[in-house]
Amino acid sequence: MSLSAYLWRDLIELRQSRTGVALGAVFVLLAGVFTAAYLSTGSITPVYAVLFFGSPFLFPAVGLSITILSLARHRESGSMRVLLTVPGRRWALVVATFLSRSTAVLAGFVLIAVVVVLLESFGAGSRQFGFGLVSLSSLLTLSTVGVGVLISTVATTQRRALFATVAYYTVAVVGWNVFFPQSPDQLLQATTGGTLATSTTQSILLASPSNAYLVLFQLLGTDSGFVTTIGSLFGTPIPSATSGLISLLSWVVVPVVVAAGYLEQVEIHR
Amino acid sequence: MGFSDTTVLDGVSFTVEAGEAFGFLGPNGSGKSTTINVLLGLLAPTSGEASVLGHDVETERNEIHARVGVLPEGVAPFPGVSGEQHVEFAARANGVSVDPTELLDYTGLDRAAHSRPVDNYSTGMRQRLWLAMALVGDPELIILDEPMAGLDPNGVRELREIVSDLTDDGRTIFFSSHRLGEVQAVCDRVGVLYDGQIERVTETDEVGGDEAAGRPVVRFQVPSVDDRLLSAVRARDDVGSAEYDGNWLRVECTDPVAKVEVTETVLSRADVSNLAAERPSLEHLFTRETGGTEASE
Repeated sequence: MSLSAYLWRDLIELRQSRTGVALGAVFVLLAGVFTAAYLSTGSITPVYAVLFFGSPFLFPAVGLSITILSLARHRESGSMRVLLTVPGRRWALVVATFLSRSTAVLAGFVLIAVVVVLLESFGAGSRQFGFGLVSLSSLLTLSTVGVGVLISTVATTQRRALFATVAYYTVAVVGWNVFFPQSPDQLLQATTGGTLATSTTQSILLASPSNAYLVLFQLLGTDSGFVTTIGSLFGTPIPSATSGLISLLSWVVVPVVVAAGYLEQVEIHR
Repeated sequence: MGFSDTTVLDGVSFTVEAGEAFGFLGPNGSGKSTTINVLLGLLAPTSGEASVLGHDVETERNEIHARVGVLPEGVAPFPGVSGEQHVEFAARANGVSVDPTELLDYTGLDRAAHSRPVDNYSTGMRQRLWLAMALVGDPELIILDEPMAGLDPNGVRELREIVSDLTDDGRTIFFSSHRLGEVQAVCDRVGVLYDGQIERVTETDEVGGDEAAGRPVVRFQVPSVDDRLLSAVRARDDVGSAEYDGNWLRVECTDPVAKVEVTETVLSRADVSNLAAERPSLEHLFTRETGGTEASE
């Protein structure tokens, strides 16, 4: 009962908020850019390129920005007292927040998917590839929605939530993608001369949602240069798509579970 | 009860009877909201125990929330959400169906504001909104934390009537306030909280007859008082104190009957131009218990 009530309330709040409007604007803009790129070049490739190279940076930012203030706002303003004194379990509030924000994100990706599939139907692209690319991008985004919900649950003020999110994005998204495009094994060898076992290297790499996202490209087919790119990062054998999926799903689920557990225990002072 | 190495509440012990309006009185910062947070399971006491409607506050908070309505103090509503949607949310959470308009009308929220986002609601409008939400689901216990804050005189009167209706209907009211007159107007009993401790729990109606709560006081307006008169009054066993401030002689009696004899004595030995007998009020009680100056409304 409370889960649906929390979900209903958060969707209304999101729809009325600047965050919700900004999210809609981002996806509409992206759809427009894709269409314009296709019309000006006559090729679907630029769209794929934006999704492939932009996803690890753009969509985590989207996922985080739509969630960072969700619960922190209520902890700061005191309305968390209201949310936690209506009948219901506390974990339901966290799960409902994740579900509502995820729903909004997925609605945006549905728009992108429709545009991409339409463009592919006019061009020479493979429908499965574009749709798969968008699906993987949405999964990557949901992984940061979970992290954003966790940050927002733990932060007692909006400012703290913002700082924590910027720190996370800088280290775990930008930092990882910029400084870890190469194998940690190669990095270790270059700095200390040591080596890592292949399985250890791959485990470290797979811990990153961006890398798990790349591994999942195997599902989209073996053509194009994607698999080569993945191979240069992970070495051989390339981790299975299943392991990538497990990693990415873990990033979706685990932060939400941790946030729910935290909220069950935390004391609310105001 | 302590939180983060700081003792906020200590020795707080009281019982609220079913169907009564219980006043919870104390200055700002005395621990009223903290006490409420403990009762609602939002804070865990480091020691001691508390139960609400027979449910332990630490292990059965969900059962408590299902039977309690809360009007919180100083809480901002959900941004962008209308008043009606706030009530609808409370109804959905309680698993009941209500007419938000009817409830909001009952608490006196202007009809034009019902469907408007709450962002620009005044403090008084918010209070009416929270009250409407607190009433959703017919709770057995209604906790009101500074409910009169921000209400205009009409709003105060209306809220008193609502509280009266609710107690007539058999609901239990926990009325927390730092405004003594409010508590006096709506509550059957009052507990005074000061510096994290319950100083006293007493019947509101019996405050005047409670020697410890507040002693009868007689005041005489006189141009001067000689020392012999002052000594004679102070020497009486049934007088607690006698003070002259240059205009008024204030005599505090320990026995209500002493007022008559004290008045006869002062009238016979001083040039009295005016006199007043005071019924001890909650303000007096508050001042006595907290050691501060009397609060003004």
